[in-house]
Amino acid sequence: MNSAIVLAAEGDRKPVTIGFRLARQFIERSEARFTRFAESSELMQLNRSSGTWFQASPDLYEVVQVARSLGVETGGLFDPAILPALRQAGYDRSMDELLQSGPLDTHRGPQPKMYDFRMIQLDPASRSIYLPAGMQIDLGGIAKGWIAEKAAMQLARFSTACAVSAGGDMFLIDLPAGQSTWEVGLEDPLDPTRDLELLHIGPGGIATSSVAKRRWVVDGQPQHHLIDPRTGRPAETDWLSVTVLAPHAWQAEGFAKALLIGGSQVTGFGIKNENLKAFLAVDRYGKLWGSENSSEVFHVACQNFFAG
Amino acid sequence: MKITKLALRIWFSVATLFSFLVGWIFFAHSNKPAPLTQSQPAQSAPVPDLTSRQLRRSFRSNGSTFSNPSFAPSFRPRLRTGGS
Repeated sequence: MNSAIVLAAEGDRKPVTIGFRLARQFIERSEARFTRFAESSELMQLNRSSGTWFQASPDLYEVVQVARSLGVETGGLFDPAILPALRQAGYDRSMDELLQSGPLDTHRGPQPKMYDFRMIQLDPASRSIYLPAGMQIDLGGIAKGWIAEKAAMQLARFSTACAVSAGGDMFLIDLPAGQSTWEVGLEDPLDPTRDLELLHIGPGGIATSSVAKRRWVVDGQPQHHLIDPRTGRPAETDWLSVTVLAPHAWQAEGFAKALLIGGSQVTGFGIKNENLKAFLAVDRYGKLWGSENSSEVFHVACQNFFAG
Repeated sequence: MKITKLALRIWFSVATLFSFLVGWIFFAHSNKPAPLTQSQPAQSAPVPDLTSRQLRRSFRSNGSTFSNPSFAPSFRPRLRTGGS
């Protein structure tokens, strides 16, 4: 996942140690299943089968299913079918390799055809997925949220309270003894070494999408990994990062991505969606914006609000 | 012989008296400790209670954020979100 994984749990030493080991094994298995950088991964097998039905594992089927529901809920702003456009923008190898290769200056050919991810078909009886011919999907972000949540649920069986973070997409279960909230630092997208705010939140999912991360240069132009499905190019947005609190970590990740791509002009779906509990956004000047309830949900002094 | 004994006694007596007086003068002129007032309360590190020690032992993580959980008064992991 090219991300830092943090596991934290409270409880007796022996069971917690077992919980950590199982959670870690689950994360490693899932990473191998969902990566697009290994041709043998199940995700890449699915991509190669586009145009035909593919019988998926329960895990892949579930992630694709929740991804489609997010695509519908966000009006198509969350769309994993942007993989060809992502490769076209230059993100065709792992981020480590991309950063080592330096600026890309090759002509990268015509803009690939864009597909609407909501066009996929699912057959729950046979657990099969149908991608329209030519569609290629990347489950990077949503898989990260899903993995964090499932790993946390495993860890919870061995602890009294726990948290799992996969690159900042995290799922929190119960509360540490004597605490009324979890503390989560909100990274400053303009200076990742410092926190912009310290959020105090309850159990659930929280995720941040940022255009300040995973950047590279093509023909002298900076690129980032968040493709706008409406244009097929890296999103031009007035937000630097968006943080969302939701019942599920994968929901938080999907909503954060959609809000970031949509920018300040497209917040309506987020405000109306009951699964999106609250959000915070950081603009280009480092100013913090939030949904109307953000101050009480995140316990931060947010002075710029979006109304419904 | 008697004269030698007398001379030694006098020498020890004078040396003892002299050493005592030098010591007295030295300590009389040394810096005195600052008096304890209300604006300068006594400072001492709090003694960890049994609960915090137990929590510290049960705290395990594979992330660098938690690589050094020592002295955590309670389970309060340092989590961050910022995109990836």
